[in-house]
Parts: sequence; C-alpha cells; structure tokens
Amino acid sequence: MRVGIVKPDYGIAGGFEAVVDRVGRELERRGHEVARATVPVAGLPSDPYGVAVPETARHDAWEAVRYLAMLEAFRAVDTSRFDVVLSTQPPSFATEHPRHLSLFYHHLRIYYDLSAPYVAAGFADEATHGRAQQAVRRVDDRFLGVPAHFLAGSEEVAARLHEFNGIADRVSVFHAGSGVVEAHLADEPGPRFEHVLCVSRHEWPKRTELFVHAMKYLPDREGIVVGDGGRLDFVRDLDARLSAPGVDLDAVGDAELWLNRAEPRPAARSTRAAGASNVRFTGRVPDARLADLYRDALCLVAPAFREDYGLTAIEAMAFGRPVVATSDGGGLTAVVDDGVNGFVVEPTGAAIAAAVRRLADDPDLARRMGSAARERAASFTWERAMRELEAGIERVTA
Amino acid sequence: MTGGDATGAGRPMPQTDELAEYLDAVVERALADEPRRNRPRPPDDASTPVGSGVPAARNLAYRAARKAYHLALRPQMGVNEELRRGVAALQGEQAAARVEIATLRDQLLALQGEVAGLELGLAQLHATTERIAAALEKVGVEVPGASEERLDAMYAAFEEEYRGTSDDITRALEFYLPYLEASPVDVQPVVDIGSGRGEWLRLLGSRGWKAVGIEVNKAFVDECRAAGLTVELADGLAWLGSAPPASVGAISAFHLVEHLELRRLVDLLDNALRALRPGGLLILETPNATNLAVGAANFYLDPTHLRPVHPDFLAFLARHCGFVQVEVKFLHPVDGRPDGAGPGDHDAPTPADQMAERVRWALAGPQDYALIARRPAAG
Repeated sequence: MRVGIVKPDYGIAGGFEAVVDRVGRELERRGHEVARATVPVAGLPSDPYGVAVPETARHDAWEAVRYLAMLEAFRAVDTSRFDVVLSTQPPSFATEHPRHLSLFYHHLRIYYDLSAPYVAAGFADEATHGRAQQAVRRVDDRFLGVPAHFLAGSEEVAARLHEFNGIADRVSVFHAGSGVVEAHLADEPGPRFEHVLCVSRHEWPKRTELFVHAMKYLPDREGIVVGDGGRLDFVRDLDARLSAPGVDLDAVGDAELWLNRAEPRPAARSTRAAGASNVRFTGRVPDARLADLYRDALCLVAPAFREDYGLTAIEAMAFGRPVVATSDGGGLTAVVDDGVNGFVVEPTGAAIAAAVRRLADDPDLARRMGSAARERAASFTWERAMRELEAGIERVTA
Repeated sequence: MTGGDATGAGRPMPQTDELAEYLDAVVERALADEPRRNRPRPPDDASTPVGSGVPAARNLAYRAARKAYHLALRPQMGVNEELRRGVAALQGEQAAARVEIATLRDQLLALQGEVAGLELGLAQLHATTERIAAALEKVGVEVPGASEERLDAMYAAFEEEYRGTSDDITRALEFYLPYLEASPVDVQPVVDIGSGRGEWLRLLGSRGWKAVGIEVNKAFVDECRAAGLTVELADGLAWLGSAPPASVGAISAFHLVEHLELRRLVDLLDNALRALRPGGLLILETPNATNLAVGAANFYLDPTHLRPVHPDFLAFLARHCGFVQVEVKFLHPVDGRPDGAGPGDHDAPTPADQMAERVRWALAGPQDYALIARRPAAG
C-alpha cells in the first residue's frame, strides 16, 4: 500500500520525529510504499484563511493563529495519491482522506491538559487564553471527526481524547518501541547504584524544578540533569539559589516554583560558593554517553506533569534502573508500578527525595526494582508497536 | 465541550473583543470548509484496496475528480500562486547559474593548460633541488626545509590536537550509520577518501560493513594498517578516477572538499558518480562557514584548508554533476543543541526568541555540515 505520512515540519529532530522516522522505515520493511507530505511550519502564511490578523491576536494568541494557519495548510494537502494517510502532530489530523489513521500524541496542550497551569503560571492572560482556547477547541471538535481511527500515543493520551473530545470508540493505543531498549536490554545491568538522573527536554511541563529541589535533601548523592530545553536557565538558577547555605528546604513551595509564583530571586547571586551544588547539568549528550549514565544510575527521576508517554523512563528501565514519577505524571504512571519497578509519589521535592532515599539506603531494593523495571521495559518493542500500527491500518482499510 | 472550563470566559475587555471577533471570523471560515460535501467522495465501497494491483476504475475516477477539484479550487488560495512564482524565479536563477558554471568550466580548461606547463617546470625544479640536496648531504651539509615525511607527521600531530579525540569523532560519525542501513541498494564496499586516522573505517568495521580507506598521508596509513584496517596509500582523486565504473557502494570524504580547488572538486564528484553503482551513496562532510566563528576564524586554523565550501554551492554542484536526493544536514552545534533547533510543539519562541535563535546559529550553531546524495537508481 502507499502510505502517506502527513506531518508538520518544525525543523527539529526530537523524540517524536525519531518515532515517525522509525514507523516509516518499518512500514517500508513490511513492503509498503511510504511517502511523506510535510507542512513546513516556518513557511506558513501569516494570515490564516485570508483574514487580517489584528495586533492583539498576533501578540497574545499567536499559538492559536499559527495553529489555524497549520489547519488551513493541512486541509489543502492533496492526499489522492495515497491509499492510507497516517497523520501525526496536531492539526495534521484535519487532512482529508477516506482511510485516515491518526497517530495522535497530543493536543495543542496549552489549550487542553496544560491550560489551567499555563494561565496560573502567568504565561497568558486568562480572558485572552480562554478566547483562543475556545477557537482551537471549536476547530478541533470538528476536524477530529476526520480520521477513521486514532492510535493514541499512550493510555494517557487516549484518556485525554475521551475527556476533552468525547472520542472513545475510534481509539486504540500505540506503544512506540525504543531503539535504546532494543540496543541495551540484553546488556549486563550496571552493578552499582550511584547518581540520580533526570533526562528530558527540559521545557516547562517537565517540572525539572522538583528534581533540583529533591536533590537538595540528598546532599551526599550526585544529581545529573541531561538534556537541553527552554526551562533550563530557570532551573539552573533555582539550583544555585537552593545550594546557598541556610536555605529552608521545607519552606520551598513546589507548586509555586513551577507556577512562577515563588519569591523573587535574591539579588546577590554571586555570593554563593562556586561548585557547592550536588547537581550537574550536562546538556545534550550522545547516545553512547547517555547509556553510560544510565548504566550505574541509582534511579531516574521523572517529575513531568501529565507526560504524554515517558520514553526516557522506559529507557532507564531497560538498563535496570527504577523510576520515580509523580501521581500527576500522566503516561508515566502507566509505565511505573508503584512499589514494583519504582515509586509514584506526590509531586513535591520532599516526596521525591524520600523515594530516592529509600533506594539509596537499600541497594537490594534498588536491584529488585531494577530487575522488575527491565521486565517492564522488555515489552516496549517495535514488534509490538508495529502490530498495533498494522491493526490500526486494518481498522481504516477494512 | 468548547467552553473554556479550565480558564473561564473571563471579563470582556476591548482587546479581547477584537481578538474574539477575529478568531470567530477565522474559525467560521475554517469550519465552512465542508470537505465531505464539497469534495468528491471516495468510492462507497472503500474495502477495495486502492493501489494494490490494478486500481479499480472507480478509484481512478475518484482520483481524477480529486485532481479536478484541486485544480479548480486551489488557485483561490494565493499560496499556490506564490509558490509558482517562487519556482519560476528559482528556475531562472538556476539557468543563470548553469551558464556561469559553463563559463567557469571553459576558463578552467584554459587554465589547465597553463597549470600543466607550470607543473612540468616545478617537477624539473624539484629534481634539481634534490640533486643539489643529495650532493650537499654527501659533503656533510644539512639540508634546511621540511621533508614530505616530516610534514606528514606534523599534520598527524596537528589533527590529534585539534580535531578532537578519536572517541569524540567516532561518536559524531554514528550519525551517518542510518543512511547506510536505510539504503535500498548494497552500499558496500564503502570507500573513504582521505581516511585519516581511520575512525570511520573502524566504526564501519565494528558494525560489519566492508570498508576501504584511501589516504595520501603515510603516517596515517601506517597507523591504520597497524590497527588492522584496509587502507591504500594513494591520492583519493586518482584512485577514484581509475576505479571501475559502478564498482563501489558508497563514497565518503570527511573534511576533504575544503582542501580542493574547484576543478578537483568537480573531478571528485564526476568520478564519484561514475564509480558508484546506481543508487549508491555519497557522503561529504565539511566545515559550515554559515556559522560565523567557523567562517571567520576556525576554518583557517588548518593551514591546508583552501576556502570554505558553501552548503548551497556544494548541493548545487552535486545536483549539477548528476547526483539525486541531495540533502544537506547541519551538524555539531557548539552548544550541543539539536541541529537547527527551532520552535517545539507547544513551546515555540516569540519573535525575540527567533532573533536569539539566529544569533545562536551564527555564533554557537552547527560547525560542520554533511552533504548526502545518491547516484540515480537507473542509469
């Protein structure tokens, strides 16, 4: 079959791009012809549907304006040469085709599951955000009717489609495989349980603040933050502030930190002793180096809010490392079984620190949970992912 | 469903009213696109698989109707018109560039004659110098100036110090493996022109690929052979020129093209195309001079670099010489961020961020780029 993968091109090569690439190659391996129809986000017209954009909209609701521009572009994609369309990020689900399968990983999240904290964190004015949200949800409600079937990227994402759009009967779950799991599941697990890892693209929803706060309760352990991202400067600064002597850790409000409502930073930043922090920031590292970091880690801490999937948690598990996630961690809570292969705790620095402390104090517990984690990770194969994908294709072609 | 249950509708304010009016207008237009009524419907019996075997007549009809629909309605969008104009302008530029290249080729042919004459003179001079040196050595006078071998050793040491450790390079080279793995035709043997310290050959060997290095620097050749790698001591261009047609699966050259004059660069591409079998892969990596720090300073750290090769020009040249599926990939950003990092799914930058991104690109962005191209599958 000719499968057309429809995708916005953000000019980045992130985790989702890797998943879509792999899906394309796997489909080709199975004898399908795969073509890609991409909409370059950078080249979109600035006035969607030919309506002049007022300054207020361009300034205060630009995500919604861009989204509408993308919608217009996806509606114009000619899919007549494809037998099946596989759409990806929103709003590519609006692409018209009678046999349209949507590989649905998330909504435009700031208008859905992230909406309330986004406004609470002061990123948008409540009234403005509400207007834009209404517009986005109106078009979504209509065009989410286009795909004949949805493959939700996780149980969490399937739940969101149900919660926000009332879609339940056209949905099954797709569990992306992991190249890291394939490459390392057979490795001998690292014998030592040393540093505490936090691996992510550190954007605001990832809540890396909690990791830094937790590490300050564990001064004898090294915390390593891997990855880059727009929230990292804020987190580094927080790390420096919390490393200053005499900080009352229990007085640090985690929700306030994340929602940008904590005390303004102290003016005298330079007074802190250089190198006093037990948290190290590596930025992005090559795969081989990341594997080394996973191998002897004590555990992975994944503090993200309503994570779509939790691929790094699965990868850490493949190395036999327990994972500490939070009760509002979304997809992460489907991967981590509390007390079995890690811990699911309240979203606070203190609660995360207590869970990490239990593992640090009891290497046997860490080892047991680590081997349970490996078993869990073993199910995240591309074999299974492609079975789920092919079942989805059958659903839309039957 | 559409109510802002999380944020509420908020108090009406003049700006939000303007915003609401605008959004309403766009959303109405978006919703008025009623595809299932306006667009041709697919055949009712959708169970007929389309495209497998001979398509059913009604599928053809459906496709034809879709085509007609697009032809009829698309020009309204203006976008297409703009695209068409853009393509026409590009075609014009391309034609102009072709003429320029043709002129350059003529000039080069003329220069070639002159160069040949000079080379002959130089060779004679060389022979004379060596005769004199030998005579001087006989009478016990030390000859000043560095020998070829001394220079080779110096350059090997220089690479060791400045190009990064072998481990760093090996990790960076892993980027290319998926291209070999994804190739529909056999990419073996991989011939690496200017194989240097052999990191690529070693990586290929460890993954089970058959690979041969071609290297002129004897110090490097000795080092690689001692490590069990297959390397020939030869000039890469000469080697390629004498390789049987369609005898090679993939050709790579890392940090080579910036050492070549234009004529030799064109030769490299011509000979590579000939030596590759149909569908074979070409990989060229070279410094990215659109990163200002590279273009202004770091490029010239290596005294044997001639001039930076602009990614657009190299891509153009590859296409001009007959390669297809020509891609440019920017690599090795100073700050380690993903190449060409831009707005994410829900954290895209403001205009100020975009400006910052441009500055980042110019100062802390990719230091190298790769040109990846293929010989056409047929012919």
